[in-house]
Amino acid sequence: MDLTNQLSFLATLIPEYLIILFLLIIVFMDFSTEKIAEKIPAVAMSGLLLALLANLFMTGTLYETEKLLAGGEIFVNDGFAFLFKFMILASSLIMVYFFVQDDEVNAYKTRKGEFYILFYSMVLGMMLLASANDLIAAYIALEVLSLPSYIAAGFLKVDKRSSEASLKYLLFGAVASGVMLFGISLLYFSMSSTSFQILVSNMSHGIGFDPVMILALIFIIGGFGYKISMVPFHFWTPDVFEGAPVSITTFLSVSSKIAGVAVFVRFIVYSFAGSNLMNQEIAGLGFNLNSFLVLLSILTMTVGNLTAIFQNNIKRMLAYSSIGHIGFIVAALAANSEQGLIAISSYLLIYTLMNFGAFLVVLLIKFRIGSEDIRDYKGLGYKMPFLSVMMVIFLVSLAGLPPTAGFWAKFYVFTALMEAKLYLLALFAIFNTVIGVFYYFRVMKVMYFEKSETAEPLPILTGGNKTVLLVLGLPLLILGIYFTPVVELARETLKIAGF
Amino acid sequence: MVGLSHFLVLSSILFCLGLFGVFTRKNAIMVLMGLEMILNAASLNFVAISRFSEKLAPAAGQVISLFIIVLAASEAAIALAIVLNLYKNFYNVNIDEINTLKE
Repeated sequence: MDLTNQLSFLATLIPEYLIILFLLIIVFMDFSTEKIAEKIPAVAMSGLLLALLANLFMTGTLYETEKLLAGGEIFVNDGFAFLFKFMILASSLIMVYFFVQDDEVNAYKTRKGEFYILFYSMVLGMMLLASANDLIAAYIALEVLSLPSYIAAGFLKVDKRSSEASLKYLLFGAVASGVMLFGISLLYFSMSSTSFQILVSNMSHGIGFDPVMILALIFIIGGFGYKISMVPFHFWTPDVFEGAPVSITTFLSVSSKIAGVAVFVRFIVYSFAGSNLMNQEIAGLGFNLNSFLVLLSILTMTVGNLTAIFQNNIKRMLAYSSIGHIGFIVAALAANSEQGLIAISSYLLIYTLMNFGAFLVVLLIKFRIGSEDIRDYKGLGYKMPFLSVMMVIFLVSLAGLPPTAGFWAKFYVFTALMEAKLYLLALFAIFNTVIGVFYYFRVMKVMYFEKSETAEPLPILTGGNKTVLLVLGLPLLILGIYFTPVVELARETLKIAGF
Repeated sequence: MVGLSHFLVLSSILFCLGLFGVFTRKNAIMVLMGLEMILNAASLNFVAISRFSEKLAPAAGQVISLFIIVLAASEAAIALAIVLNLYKNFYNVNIDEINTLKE
């Protein structure tokens, strides 16, 4: 790579520079007087907005830097990375609003700066993860994201549940990433490189899978699988989601998953899908990588959705439901086609909106009735009509039923599966959608058809709350009628990526 | 003559011991020690492979192991802080006895 090319590549990293700059500004604001420290949320918001705008303006230059993909680069900034960074930054921007609303977090007044520093390091880790194109780079980005997440999950220091969530997250996460690192070192041994493309270039010479490599791949997929909470690496998810403050749970379930999916998809696509490796039989074992992904996908959605039925804590239920959604994304990845990748991108865009919405409602209800238990939601449909109607939109969309965009997101996954002739997987996906309908509708049933004993009026919503709820909810209805823009955006960004 | 295979065997033993420690120990501190062994096994692998392989760029593995050392140190710092806070809340660092969350 010559100098001009290198400089033009460095210029595409402007959003990351902005995040680092604002991270430092927040550190200094935290050091200064209390009056200045009060303004940290506003500064955090403007920093993210600037980075988002920079990311949008960068798209134009992406067409010219296409040739950067040629070599084994450590970081790539293509359309795929752009789309995922857009989702990460936009969701983080909404997150700041969550943080301002979350009274649990705000109770620690003097630690406000600390909280936003953790938040910004997580955003930086996610952005690096979205464009990592090397296993070592991916590992470091993963740690930059994970280390602040452990602390953020245990941010409520005197709360027993929060510190337990933090410990469980730490132990699972650290072991998963340590094992993944060992897997990377094994791959380094058998392939002499850590680049994502290395498998394709080595395997095209006719070298088959050897036992060391299979072990290495299992370890690495396990490391990525832990981040997106894919079964059987999902055990941390429900406990951490239940114990952490609501706003951090939201961040972990949406933005962190987006970044994890980005790196996982890039790893699978760049290492295998470019050649016919996906369908090459592994060392005479009678199955290939594709059937391995199909198996993981079936496990993930079935375990996630079946366990969600029995949950009474709504955060725990949404944790299992997010595992189920990851199952759909892995299914689309197993389809191993352009259609599948488009389905992944559009699914994640819709997933962001609906999951954010559901968690915002949970957060607002929690600070009004003081509970996260579904059984305490009795009669809320009449006490808080606006909030409940929005919750119904988010839940119907999560269940994947027609008038909302959630239906189309699932529809494109099905289309990709049918085109790839994965009929068994498609059958399981339909089966899981039905289970999903069951437990999402249970929440609605409690809200509308069960009478509450008390009838005391609840504090009403502020205008800001209503606006954010509408910003998240209306697109779901509008895109439910006219979904083409999302698919076109996904197709266009993938075209730049050259997948 | 000590060759690459000796190092790989040693690192595999380290890795297995670390994993064994992680899964059998009940004390959070001991689990963290197992974790350090896993990371060091990977680090040893990188250095040894880079030293004995002719195909690789010189010192590539050593640079990677420097990154790993830095990350392992920061991870240990965070982990100990979390365990300390846990002890303040539960007066205990036994993983089995810390279960206020469901299951």
